[in-house]
Amino acid sequence: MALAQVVYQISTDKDFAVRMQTDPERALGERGWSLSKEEVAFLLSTLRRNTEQTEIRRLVKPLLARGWR
Amino acid sequence: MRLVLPVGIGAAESREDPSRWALLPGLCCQAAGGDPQAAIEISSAWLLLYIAAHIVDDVEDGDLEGDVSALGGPGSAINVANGLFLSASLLLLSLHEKKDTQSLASQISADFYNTILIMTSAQHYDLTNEHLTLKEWWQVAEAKSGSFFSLACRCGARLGIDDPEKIQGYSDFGFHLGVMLQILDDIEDLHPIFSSQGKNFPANVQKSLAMAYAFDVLPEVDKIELKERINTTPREPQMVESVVEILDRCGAGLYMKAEAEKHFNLGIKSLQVASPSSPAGEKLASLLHQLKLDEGQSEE
Repeated sequence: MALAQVVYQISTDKDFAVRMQTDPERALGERGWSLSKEEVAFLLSTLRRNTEQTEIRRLVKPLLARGWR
Repeated sequence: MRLVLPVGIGAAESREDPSRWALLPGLCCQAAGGDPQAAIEISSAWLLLYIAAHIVDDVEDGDLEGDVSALGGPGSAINVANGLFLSASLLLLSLHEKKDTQSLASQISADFYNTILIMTSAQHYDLTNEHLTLKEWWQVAEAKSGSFFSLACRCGARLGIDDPEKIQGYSDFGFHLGVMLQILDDIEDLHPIFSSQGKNFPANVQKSLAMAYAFDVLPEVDKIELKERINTTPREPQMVESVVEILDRCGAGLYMKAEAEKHFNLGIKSLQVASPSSPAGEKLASLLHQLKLDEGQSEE
């Protein structure tokens, strides 16, 4: 469940989020967490863009509009 | 359980038509070097079981509108589901009679029945527990959706190849695709919280991945607050907003996107292990790409 813990920390601790962007290996290592390089890459690319894209409303609406079901 | 009911005749290639998942056994068979025609019974049995499971799932969840209502109510719906289960079983039995499949018929049938038992056990756990921890949510999602899609791909691939490592690759590909579908389904299930209908938060919202995540990561004081807000009746718009605000604040959306991305990457990797570049392999990869929660999807 490391991914859940890292996401929570990124979302609630600005210093940790900044440190993840500058030195993710160290930021994770200090807390004893380990993520795959793909997981780190995804989190960093999201942080660089805009975390508003991950708001619940923004995730739910397009799925419904897409009518994929 | 994901809905894979056909929603339009002749629309199997459509991105919006969930019946396209019934193509998985044939595509995996073809990508593995076999004749996709040999997978017809497996595809048909798999789709019938999926429809049956969907019907039973709706009845068990108390979701009696839509398909259950169209079938004449819960009693009739269960009867239809029983017919579908047995029809699927007859199709699996017919594998013994075909030259292409008779040597694998027993193995494939046993795989189907074992997978259904795993799915049923997970469904029972889901039904008999009011709340799921994050770990339990994943166990249920993997057993119900991951294992079923894994079955489709594994059985199809077996008709084309006997290399255990490659068969496992197809099996893993199906597993990650099934888990991605479950994540998307769960995100979609959050929609009712924005609806003004109903006094309470719907049960499937309370058992969603977003809630399981929030209750796993939030400090105790925030958990109590979230629980109180969810249980407040009648459900007022400002209370809904405050629940959504807590979910956003703790990163529930980011977590679901990150997990979907993780399973996308693992699915692509599994496919690379299983299948060299081929039209069928590319089609399988495109099915996974269609599920990606990319920027385009997440914009309003």
